[in-house]
Amino acid sequence: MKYLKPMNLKAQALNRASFSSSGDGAKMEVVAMQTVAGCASTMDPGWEVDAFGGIAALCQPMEADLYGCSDPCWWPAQVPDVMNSYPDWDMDKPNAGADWRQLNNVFPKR
Amino acid sequence: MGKTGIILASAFLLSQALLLQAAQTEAQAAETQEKTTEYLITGTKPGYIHILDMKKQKVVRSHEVPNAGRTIFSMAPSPDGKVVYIMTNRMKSLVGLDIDTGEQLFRADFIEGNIRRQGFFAFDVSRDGRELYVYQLSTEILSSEYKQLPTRIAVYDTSSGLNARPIRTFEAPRRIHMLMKSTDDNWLYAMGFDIYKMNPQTGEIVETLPLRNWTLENRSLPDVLDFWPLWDQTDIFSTPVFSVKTDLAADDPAAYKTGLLTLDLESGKYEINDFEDTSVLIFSTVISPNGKHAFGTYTQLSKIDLDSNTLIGRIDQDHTYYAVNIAGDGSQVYVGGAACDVATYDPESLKKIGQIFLPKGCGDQSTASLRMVQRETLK
Repeated sequence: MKYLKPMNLKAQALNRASFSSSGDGAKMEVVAMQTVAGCASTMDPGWEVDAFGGIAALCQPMEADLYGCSDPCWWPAQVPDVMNSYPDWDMDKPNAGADWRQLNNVFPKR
Repeated sequence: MGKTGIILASAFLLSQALLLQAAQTEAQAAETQEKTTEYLITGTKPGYIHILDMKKQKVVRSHEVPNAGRTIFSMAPSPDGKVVYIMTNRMKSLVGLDIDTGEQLFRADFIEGNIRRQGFFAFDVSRDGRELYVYQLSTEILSSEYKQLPTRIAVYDTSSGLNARPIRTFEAPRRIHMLMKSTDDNWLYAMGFDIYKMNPQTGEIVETLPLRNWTLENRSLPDVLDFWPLWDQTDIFSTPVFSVKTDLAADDPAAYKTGLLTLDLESGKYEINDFEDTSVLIFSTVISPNGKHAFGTYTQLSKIDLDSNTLIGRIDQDHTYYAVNIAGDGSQVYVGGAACDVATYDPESLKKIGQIFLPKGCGDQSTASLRMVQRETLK
């Protein structure tokens, strides 16, 4: 997190909660992966970088993992949140491996 | 005939009767086996479930889930194997479908008025087939704010039909992602930061099985990612656990440990045992019916010896799979989830011996469960 700077009050509060010795006294850090309850802000390794700091342990191929990431709103920053905000992103595209060219960015809106 | 003769004759008749009885029992077992078949159940986008006869390596039924929102998540079969309950519609509905006909027999839509409510994978059906337990997160949508309501477990009567409402609810800790009913139906296990053993009538937490609050010395908090109910053959829930030994240098590979958590839903026995220095990720695991091995999948298929808690086999799969299950006789290991195929592996050699691409457009399974059910053979 040392390269990320909180830009608003909520992010600052999150930073304080995560890294302060107050609160529950435990610095929570995801080592390999961790279950989060949907649409949470998480730096869980697994999308851009794997638990070993490389990419070999990311899902292979990445298309196999695309809907596994978007359906449960796992990384709502990296993959569209189809649970709430972009429910039609996967419309008529049931197979990410075959349909990936049609899976477009959702922001900025065109 | 003398006394000895009478005894010998009686013994002969008795042995013949026992042999006949054994033959009849064997014949009945064979007949029962013919009448029932083991099936694998999975789901695909944009909202289908598929019933597979894995020994014949073919899909025998595909059913469309009504109003699925193009998503199939966790699934649980009824104890008689006639109905499969499905977390669907972007985890905002729970549906029960007749496995044979595809008829929708049960449906609970969670959203109520201005209360936006949804599940998060976690649900289970009671062992008597009468009740469904569903973890729900609720938000009240007010005119200028979202009000977070307490997280809860809702209990539904499986006979409630297509407009099911909870018959009781109770508050539950946040972050629950697995619900598991004990085999005697006396307890409900809820897995979150720790595993909470709950009274299924009142929600009272009677015991907390430590996970985040484990007391291992010189050990980081554990990492667990699991929402795959895969205990069909053994009634033992298992999942990989990742952690770091904090008394070793960060660049020491031996500092990174993968362990296996097991919770016996019959006896309540709870264990976590390391089995390797972390070298690959594993998403889900299943225990073999003889209890001697565990199999784990992600991009590799791993085999773990449970006596010595060591890794004894690993092969690269064709691609990443999320979920693993096993035949009731232990003769085949199945991997599915993620993409649109289910592969079969030999549990001894870990060689791939089969692969089924799913019909109805070969949609991705994403995070759908991979359940096994023994039921009356489908015609």
